[in-house]
Amino acid sequence: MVNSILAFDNEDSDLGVFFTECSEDLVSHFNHVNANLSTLDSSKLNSIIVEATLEDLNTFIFLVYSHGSEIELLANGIVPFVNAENANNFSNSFFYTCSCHAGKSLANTLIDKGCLSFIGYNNTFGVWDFNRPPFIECANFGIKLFLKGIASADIVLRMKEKYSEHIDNYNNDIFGSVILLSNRRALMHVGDNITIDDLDYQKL
Amino acid sequence: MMEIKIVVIDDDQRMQEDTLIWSLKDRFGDENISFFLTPNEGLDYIGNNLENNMIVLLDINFPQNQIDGHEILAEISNMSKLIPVILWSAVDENKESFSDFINNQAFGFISKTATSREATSHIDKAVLYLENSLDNVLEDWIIQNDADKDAPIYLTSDDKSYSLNDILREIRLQTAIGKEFSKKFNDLTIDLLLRNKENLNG
Repeated sequence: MVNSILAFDNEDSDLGVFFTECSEDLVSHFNHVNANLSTLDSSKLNSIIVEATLEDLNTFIFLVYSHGSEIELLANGIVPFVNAENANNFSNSFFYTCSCHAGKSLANTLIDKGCLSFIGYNNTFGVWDFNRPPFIECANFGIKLFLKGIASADIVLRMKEKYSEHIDNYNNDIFGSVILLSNRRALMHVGDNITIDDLDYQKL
Repeated sequence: MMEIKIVVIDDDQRMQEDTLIWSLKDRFGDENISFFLTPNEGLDYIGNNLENNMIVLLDINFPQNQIDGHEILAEISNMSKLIPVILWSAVDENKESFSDFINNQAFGFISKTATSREATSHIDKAVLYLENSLDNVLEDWIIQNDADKDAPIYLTSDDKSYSLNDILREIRLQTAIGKEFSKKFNDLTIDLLLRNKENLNG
């Protein structure tokens, strides 16, 4: 069974509720499909604990729900816990995040250091707080597909379809549709086109 | 009807008594007509009222020690692309250069010899433009929405948050964020058209 680590910034002042709801949905899903998931909440989001968590893992899935920038992922918007300095810790991983802008530069940094595949956003990831469920479903949809055995490049295409579905059905709330479309456009994949079986193979 | 401020920039004081100005006062209210004899006064007023709906009537020729209508339009265009600026002048249309007026998106041209009906037609188009502009459509949506308009509602994972009123203000002031929002709305329109979705499902 592939190890999965979920890092989520539940104490973030703006998006803490959203990140928590995403994590609750994922924990429930991982239980349902009988997959192994460890969690790192805000109190553990720093590079030292992240490195300690990953050091014995050969292959793994790393999921991040936090603020981000082009070059790093941040706890509470200020404490970096993934950046160029610890990128080598993510070799042989499938990296999945909804952090803003991480697809612009950090994604390639991780791939250069041996991360197998990255799905994230190369621009702002926004949440329209009137109606969060569609944003949670879209944010988590890709990792659920990966657990089902779908390949990473296909996942992005299917995530975009899921975004379009919600854009078209957002209860005439044009703002929500606008933000979902913006997220859809920023969604990207870089690295190898892998499935969860490739992670198992790597482990062997 | 939405409140619209009419801003007239013209160095000819006599134009304050023009029939067009009187008809505008009747239609929009005395308090919403502002007449400025110098470009700088007019530009200052516009810069301080970007959150309001404005239509500008702009003369072209000014005394040599002042900037002319070409430069004034360029400055207004730099402040906001949402303001319809109608050139109102006695210049000979065949002799005036209009290329930079077009580049700076002048909304129309009213000759000072135009009939009242011709002038009103241009004003009507500008009013319609404002009523259908993105910021006013959004304002209508925001007013009709029961939610707290000052509560953070748009949250991003690059540590920013905006309320409905913040979003409207950013769009009206044409800030970088406001322009980004406008672009997102245009993106949605194009996306729906390309996917043959004429409207969102309710």
